[in-house]
Amino acid sequence: MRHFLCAGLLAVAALPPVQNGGDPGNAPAWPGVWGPHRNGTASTAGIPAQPTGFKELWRHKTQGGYSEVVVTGIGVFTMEARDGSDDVVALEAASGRERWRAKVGPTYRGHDGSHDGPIATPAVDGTDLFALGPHGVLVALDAATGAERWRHDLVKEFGAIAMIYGFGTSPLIEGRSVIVQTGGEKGRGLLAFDRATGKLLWNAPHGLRGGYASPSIGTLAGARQIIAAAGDRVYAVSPADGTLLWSVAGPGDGESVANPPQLLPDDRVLITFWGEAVLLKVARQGQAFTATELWRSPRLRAAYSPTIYRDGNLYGFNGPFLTCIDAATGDVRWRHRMYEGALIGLGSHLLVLGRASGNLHVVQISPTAFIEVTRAAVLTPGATSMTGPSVAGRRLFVRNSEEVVALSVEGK
Amino acid sequence: MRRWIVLGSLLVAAAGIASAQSPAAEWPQLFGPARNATALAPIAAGSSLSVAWRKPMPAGGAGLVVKGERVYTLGTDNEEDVLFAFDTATGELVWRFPLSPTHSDAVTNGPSSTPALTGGLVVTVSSLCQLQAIDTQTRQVAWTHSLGGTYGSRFAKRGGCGMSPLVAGSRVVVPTAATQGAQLAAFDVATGKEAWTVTDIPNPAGLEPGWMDAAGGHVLYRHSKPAGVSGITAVNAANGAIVWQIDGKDGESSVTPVPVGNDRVLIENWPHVSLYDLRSRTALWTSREISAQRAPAVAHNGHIYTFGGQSGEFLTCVDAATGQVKWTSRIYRGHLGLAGETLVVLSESSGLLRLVAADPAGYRELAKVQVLTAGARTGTPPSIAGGRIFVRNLEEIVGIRVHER
Repeated sequence: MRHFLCAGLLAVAALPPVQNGGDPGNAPAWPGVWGPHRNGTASTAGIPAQPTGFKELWRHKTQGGYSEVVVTGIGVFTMEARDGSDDVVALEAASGRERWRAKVGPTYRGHDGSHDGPIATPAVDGTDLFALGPHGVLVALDAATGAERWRHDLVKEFGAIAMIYGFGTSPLIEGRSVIVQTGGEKGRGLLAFDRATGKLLWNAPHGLRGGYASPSIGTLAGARQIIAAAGDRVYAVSPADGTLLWSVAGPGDGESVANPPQLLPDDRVLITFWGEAVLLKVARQGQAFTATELWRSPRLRAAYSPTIYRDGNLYGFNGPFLTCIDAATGDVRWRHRMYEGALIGLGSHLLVLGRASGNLHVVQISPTAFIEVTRAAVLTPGATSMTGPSVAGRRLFVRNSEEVVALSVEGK
Repeated sequence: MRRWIVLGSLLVAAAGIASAQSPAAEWPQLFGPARNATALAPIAAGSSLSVAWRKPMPAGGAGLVVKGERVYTLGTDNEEDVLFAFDTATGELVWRFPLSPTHSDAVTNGPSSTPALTGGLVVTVSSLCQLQAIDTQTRQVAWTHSLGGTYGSRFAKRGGCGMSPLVAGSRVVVPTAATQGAQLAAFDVATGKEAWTVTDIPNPAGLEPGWMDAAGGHVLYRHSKPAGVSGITAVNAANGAIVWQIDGKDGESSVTPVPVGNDRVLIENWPHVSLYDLRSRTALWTSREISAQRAPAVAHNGHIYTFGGQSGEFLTCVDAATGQVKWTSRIYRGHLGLAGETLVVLSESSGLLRLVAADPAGYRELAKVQVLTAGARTGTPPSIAGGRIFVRNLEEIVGIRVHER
């Protein structure tokens, strides 16, 4: 059991904001973890309404890493271990041919059930690319060339504390700043750097304990805010200067907190972690914000996967079960054992990638029953995948610790 | 027991598919007859595999125990833990016996205790922590104890019990997972009477004790000293006296201890493995190339086969004398068994069953067949008996036929 837990704790995180760019067909991009809206929901532009299968376009072998695949008009990006270093690598979307790679640092060696390589996912906006290595080095690169613009060692410079499996939080781009979440009692919490220069703009030290989760951003109770799930609390700050807006204790211990907060309609925030899920409601009176708990449920234990919100219902994982939950009450509508994996929402379907099966499932979104439309073997079975598919136009990109695979969605 | 094992091995060594009544048709407890994942009869190098039958199975992580024409395991129907008896040749359900209501924390994945076959009884631990011996002929309860009520098992309140009884001659030994009092308890198989208990193991851990066939038999059990550092306590199977204790250096694990002969023991901890000499109580070597995984290692002919790499994805052969890695092959995490000179490897997630040569010269795959659904993770090791291999996950039980050329 232990190695399931440990491997599971190696989370990906963070969600860059809606960003520009597009794939070669001018389709919407997948600019960072969990897609353009940081909620695992993909654009359906170019996607057949009724997917019937997948066609493999190319396959890129890698030597390790959990990072999700990022896609913009410039190319395809991810992080991977290669010959002793942890790199950011850029691939051509059409062919998978390597365009450039940039070293972030020495390969983080797996331990206690984990694999070698990086965890976090790069964030890309235009030609700005930011990536955090598992040793805590943040790099800013030119997405077109791979040229390094600046870097910070968050441990040495800012007292950041590495989690047991290293740094897993992904950068967040907002306006002129790039934000990373750090932890530790003597750490400095959220760090906001100037995108162009790397200069520290502000920091917000509100969570004493770290985690693998990444901050999210959006508008709640009429105010744009950055929401962070630390190991000991969930809090929100102003993106302008890091001013604290609200804070609540919990949700769990740092090692179990790996998913970014998800914003739901009606000023709600969903926090999912290893043991349970918590739904918060954010309200405002004057300049004061409050966050109150609407429900808490062990029936949703999303382990390193988005939970998809659709028409008042949540679709996500509860351990090995894909589960549909009434978002208003937390009550279970249905569940189906399909073992651990990561999912995204694509139109009227869920795409579910098994963590170790190598299978990609297309599931009809329905609050009444689990309905599998089709499935395909797309990755080597047995190898660990900690991310869901990335979508750009008609193309899907999936990966595990050994390979990145590009697929086209077939259907009518 | 060791003599019996050796005799059995000799009797069937040249056989193809063993007869249903031969000693080779037994896999009486978790990790087999000698608790070392080793089958009584070999599987020859030229053998092939085929799925003989496949049956739906209620949820449960319990292992499969075999004697003659029956294979037994536990599952839950969401309300009750049930002991199932299947026909080894056809997979037909022959009988079922309700054990106790399923612990509320075990409804999803079912009971995880592997029963033990001994003295005409199948000794079970239900998720509600009821220890029961069922007569396989009369299907009556021969004797029973409450590990929660009598022994104070902490899993009675939360989690549910999953300890797997160990057969030690005419007794079965059961970890209690009690916070105080008896930590291990031995029961006479014939009468069910408590034979002995152990109360002074420092921070005992693990639900699956190991076995060393030395001086009448030692029960090998995990302890933690200091807290968070796992070691091994050896308990005399005859009287419950502690024979020796070896504290690990660092790292922890509850993986079943593996003896290497009668004078060495493997301590598989995260993130490394050490081989200890029992006379000097010192580590002969420590390797980070292998690490504690779900499945304990298999020791054979001076070599150790286990899953290695810190990810646990590499089947690895290590020289037991030096700790040097002989070879690795990335076939992903799984469970190991040994039948003669052949490793039986069940993937944890891909559903593949492989036969691999237990040969330090190199990784050599002898056969491979898809036996479980890819992605349907299994935490249950394969059971090897009577020319068949039995596997299961939370949804199905599968009988595989071994065909010798």
